Amino acid sequence: MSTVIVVLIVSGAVWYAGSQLWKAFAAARKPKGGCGTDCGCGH
Amino acid sequence: MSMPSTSPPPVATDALRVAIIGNPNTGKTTLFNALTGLRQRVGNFAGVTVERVEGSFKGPDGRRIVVLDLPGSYSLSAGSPDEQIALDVLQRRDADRWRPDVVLVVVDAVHLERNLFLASQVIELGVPVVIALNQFDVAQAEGITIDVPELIHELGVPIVPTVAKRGEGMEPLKQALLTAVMLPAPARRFALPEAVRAALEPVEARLVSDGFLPSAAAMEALRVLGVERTDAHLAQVPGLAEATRQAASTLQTAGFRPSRLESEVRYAWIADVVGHTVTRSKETHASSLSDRIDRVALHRVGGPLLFLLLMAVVFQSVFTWAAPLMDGIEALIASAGGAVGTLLPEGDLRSLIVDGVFGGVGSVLVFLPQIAILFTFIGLLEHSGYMARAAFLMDRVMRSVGLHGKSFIPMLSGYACAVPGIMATRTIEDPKDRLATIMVVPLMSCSARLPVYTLLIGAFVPATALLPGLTLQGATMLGMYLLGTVAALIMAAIFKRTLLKGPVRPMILELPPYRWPSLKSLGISVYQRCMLFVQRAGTVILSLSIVLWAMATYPKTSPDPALSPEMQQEQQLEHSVLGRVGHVIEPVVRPLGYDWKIGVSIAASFAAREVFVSTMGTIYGVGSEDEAALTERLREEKDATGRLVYSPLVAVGLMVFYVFALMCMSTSAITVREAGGGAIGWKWAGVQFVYMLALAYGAAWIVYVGGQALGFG
Repeated sequence: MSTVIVVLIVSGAVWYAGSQLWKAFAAARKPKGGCGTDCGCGH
Repeated sequence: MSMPSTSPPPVATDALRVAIIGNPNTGKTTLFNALTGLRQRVGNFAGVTVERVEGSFKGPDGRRIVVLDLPGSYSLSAGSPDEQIALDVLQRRDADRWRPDVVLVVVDAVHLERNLFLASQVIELGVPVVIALNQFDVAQAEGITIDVPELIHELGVPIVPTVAKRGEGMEPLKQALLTAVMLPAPARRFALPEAVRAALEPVEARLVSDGFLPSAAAMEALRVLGVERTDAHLAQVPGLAEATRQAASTLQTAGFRPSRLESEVRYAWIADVVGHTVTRSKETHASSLSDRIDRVALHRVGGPLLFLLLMAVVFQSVFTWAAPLMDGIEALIASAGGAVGTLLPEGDLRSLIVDGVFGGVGSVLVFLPQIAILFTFIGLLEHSGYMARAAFLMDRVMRSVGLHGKSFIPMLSGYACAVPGIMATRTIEDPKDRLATIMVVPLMSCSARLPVYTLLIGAFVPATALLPGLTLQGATMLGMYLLGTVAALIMAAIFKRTLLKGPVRPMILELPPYRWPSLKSLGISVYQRCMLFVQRAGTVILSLSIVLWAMATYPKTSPDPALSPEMQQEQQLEHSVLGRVGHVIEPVVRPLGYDWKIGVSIAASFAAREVFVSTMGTIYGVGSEDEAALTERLREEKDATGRLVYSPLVAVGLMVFYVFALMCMSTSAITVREAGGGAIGWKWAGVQFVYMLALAYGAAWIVYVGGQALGFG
């Protein structure tokens, strides 16, 4: 059971980190107001 | 005189759209916050608002009012990209853009004469206008009496006295915004000499035939006489350039100076209006106090020394004041991790939670007090008006490297985060100056570097007293920030003399009077900054810590049972994906004095710099049974020969590497966009990444090899 939980948590983390990378560069292609949610700039 | 506006009245059931514009330092953004409740960073120096920020609130009749905060501007010029946006919005020419029903002009009651220049231009656009006479309390305190009914009569638009920082005058202002749309559209309040009016008629006709409102065309016709280059939004108007040349020639022949005509006629009218409506009963106390402070703060020698002293105090306080809070957070995280660990059975899940989550994220969260202290100081300097003085002091330095003085503000923003810093370059008119600034902003040490510096300084730099109140730790931190700043200036000079050659332009900067910072605004900005740090630790850093934990744990091996538990764990770590990647990277980082663990932590932190600290936390959490703090483990870490892995020289080299390296996805992404997007954007983002990496590697190598040669190794 604990192995399944570990696999789920690690898969979720890989998916999230990947999606953030994708979002950052997708935003670079199309201008929009403000920056990404992870930039830490406060705007 | 201009013709009346032909714009249709808005439908009462729709949301009312209000655009806010005003000179810098009028409290425009504070008023925006007071109206909408939206929070935004407020600064005392020009150009802080470079983004379109929208908010909304309910009017007294329940109608929704949508407000757009436009960039601060002294006049309706269209020199920089953000000024162009403001002009496009106000002229309501582009159907795709936001079209205001009312323009709210925020005017500083203390400096009415200067502020009315922009207001008089906006009034001529043919859009309903309301004027907020802000900082009315300061004007009264300085003995300035404004006859508001007479001023309304002179300007022909509703005027509401306000004190935005205390929320005074907001209800009458909301009512005035709703009423303004029912009133006839305002128009020019002064008459041009007949010869001028006749000369400008063909120019106005060209603009009207291109879709300008007649009143806006009259304003533009007068304005374009004084501009050197045709603005982007006028470049496409057929025959305009020729008509303007002819008008200028006619006016010159008639004895007028076309380039100064607009300012002469407007200021003549403004002087007349102010003469009727404003009385001054005493000398301004606040200004004279500011003048006295500025005698020191802007002194040729004393000014830069005071600036350095303030910075030293800031960075020393980051260490001195944060220490007890950091110890508290560290103990809290350790006990929480321990408590959760005891609830879980021995195995991978427990290791994931204790080493991956608590070890990784916890090692970054510990730096929250330092983030709070740093941004409290930066906020104090900004809100008090000192940062504008710092910009003034830096202007000479900026010009010496070929940058415009305006570049200082984006570079200053870079201390917080390179992303808003790069976006703030939109206030720079010249494309080459702007690009040169974009290229060097990431060299300014951002808040993400703070955990890396603090970890390494805390572990390897002794707290030896250098001066009263300044230790070697604080001085080292200041040194890292100065190193980044000096490198940014040198690189800017190189860019401006090679790839981005161009002339240097002078800067005009308004120095606002010194003010007591609003504790509420300061508290909000520090809170926002801390929450963003926590949010980032709980999302990006958490996910990367978990991924790195998995890489440090799998595949499993059967350790030699003859070895000690610690050595068995070390064997497992070396066998893991992370260990194997680390050994592949090791030859590249070995010349810098780093082992595979540092190498893999650097590689992981290319996504975000703080990941260096969380990766170290995970690696040393996975590889050890000992619960000692990360700094202790780093100090005691030994290689296979029993030699200490981390020497002060390696630590300094690592910090220098982090000063220069561009390790932030968000920064590269924003550079692609702001450098022009597409292939051009990618090219400049690539140049930025490569030159910064080369600089980082070269400088870290020089520190390590040079230090060893000098006997520091």
